[in-house]
Amino acid sequence: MSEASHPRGTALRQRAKPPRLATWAAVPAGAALLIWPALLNGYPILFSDTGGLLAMGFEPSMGWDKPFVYGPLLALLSAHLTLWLPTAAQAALLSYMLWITQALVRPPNPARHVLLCAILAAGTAAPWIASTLMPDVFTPIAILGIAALGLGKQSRAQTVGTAAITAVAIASHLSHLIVASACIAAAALLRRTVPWRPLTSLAAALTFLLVSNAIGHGRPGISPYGSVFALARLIADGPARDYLDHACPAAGYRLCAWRDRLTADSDQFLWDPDSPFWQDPAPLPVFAAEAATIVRETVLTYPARVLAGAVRNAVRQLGRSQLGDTLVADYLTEAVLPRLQRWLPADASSWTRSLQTKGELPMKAARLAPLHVALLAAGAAACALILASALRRPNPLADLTALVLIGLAANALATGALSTVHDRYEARVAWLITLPPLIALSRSPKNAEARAPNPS
Amino acid sequence: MATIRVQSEPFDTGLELARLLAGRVDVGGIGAFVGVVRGASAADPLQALTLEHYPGMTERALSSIAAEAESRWNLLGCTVIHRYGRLVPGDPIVLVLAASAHREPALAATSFLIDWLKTRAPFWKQEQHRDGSAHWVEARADDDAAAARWDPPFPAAHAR
Repeated sequence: MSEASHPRGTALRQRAKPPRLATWAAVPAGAALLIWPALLNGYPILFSDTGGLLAMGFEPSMGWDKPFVYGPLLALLSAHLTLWLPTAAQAALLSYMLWITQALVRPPNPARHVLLCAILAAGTAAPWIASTLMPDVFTPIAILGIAALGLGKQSRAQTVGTAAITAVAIASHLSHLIVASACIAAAALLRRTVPWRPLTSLAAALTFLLVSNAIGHGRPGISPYGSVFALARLIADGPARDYLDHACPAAGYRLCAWRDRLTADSDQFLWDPDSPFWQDPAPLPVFAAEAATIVRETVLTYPARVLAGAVRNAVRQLGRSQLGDTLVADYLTEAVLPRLQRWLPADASSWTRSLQTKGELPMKAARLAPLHVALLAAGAAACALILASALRRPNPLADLTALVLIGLAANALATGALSTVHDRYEARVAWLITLPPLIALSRSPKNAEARAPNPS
Repeated sequence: MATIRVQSEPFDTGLELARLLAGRVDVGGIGAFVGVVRGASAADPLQALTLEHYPGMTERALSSIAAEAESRWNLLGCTVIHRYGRLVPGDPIVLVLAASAHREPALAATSFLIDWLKTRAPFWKQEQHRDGSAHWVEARADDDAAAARWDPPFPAAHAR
């Protein structure tokens, strides 16, 4: 007897294939739930970096420290009308990726998808990340995209769409290259095969970065000035300061003149207008070349200290995932408002009335912190149980869990060890730890029976 | 609060003066400085000066300098506009306006602002010459000396 003619098989098939309209409505419905913080705020949440990103997109111009991806996307998706449009778009992308990810474990279902988004919206940092106009939203999107492409199967159209979104997500922030590489390696180990589809997304992202930097900066490379970030990290951790103490003044570095102003704060070096980086009149290419030399010499001189510092910072980063450091209004008046006034004047007046501008947003988020912490703790415990279940019998949920955990660790390494420790870096992905358990909870035994190992 | 703008397009000095004065009757004087791209000597003529900056960072730096001026002198208003991009000799590059009840703080603050802007505003400047050569502009000792005269303790006569 075929499944179609079997009464129970027919019933299961009906559950697995819900009405097409409901399917199409599920992703935007989930997206609507995921932007409630922006609605509460009265405007998309901004960060001081958003100003530079707007300039990159609207002028347009190349930023020295950011890929030419997110800024242009902001300008394109805003249609030069309002930043609400890119906010809605990034929430929709996140909702879509959540939909695709559920298909790794069981057939997606509109009601369950909306419920999942509602729980994530209510109890995790996910909606705050989706409501903030920063490339941070693309970190979980990249991890989920690689999980979907590397662990599951989709239709041809879904594969193309997911691969394209994943490529954009990877290219949108340099730390995503490390996160994506780790997740692809995890997918390869779990499936014991070369994960060509996510590799294609990574290759596309790398190619775009190389070409855009060659054209825009005249310097082909993934990060033409990335050495400045590495130098800031090594100065803050100490090895580069000790190296300069040893090498100056004989080495003739420009930085020798600023040695007494190098502190243990990498943010001060990178973002304080009075720091040596900004006060030395050397143009960026000259400074970056010197930074690369100092970084290389420091690593060669103190390899164990550099490695220990990287591990220490990565561990510290893993433990820092509280919401808050992107919700304040610091420097928004100088960095973002002039650009809103110039390119999106109607938005400028909305922004001036937002809770963030009034300094009220961090307090609103702080009330949710205990719930977020509780869910993260429960998620971590549940993930451990899921992984333990894989010891008895490998299963798709355990594979997804393993890949997500690898993504979280790689994110901590890429940001804490190579950049600096900030809550926002891990907050953007830590909530993913709740995702496998939530998917498991919504999977009834009957659903589990009905699902295909690799749903298409 | 100071008006700070970093822009590629030219500024209108008259319009900015009018904006600074709009609705005020307590202003007794406005110090004004307009910086212009100088075409260097006939032996080494400058074709263009290109300024690059980091959006957001530059505004922060200019705001900080303006705040320092406001803390040192009793200013009733302050405008700093700095241009970036490719500028040719004769192009206005920077505008500084400082309004006060009296001329002395207005003029002193204007002088301070331009001296600190020259040495502390984070712009990368590249000169292109008629012979095709180009080089990045390094710090100039006379600019540093001009800025250093405002380091504390600065002349008591200038204090608010």
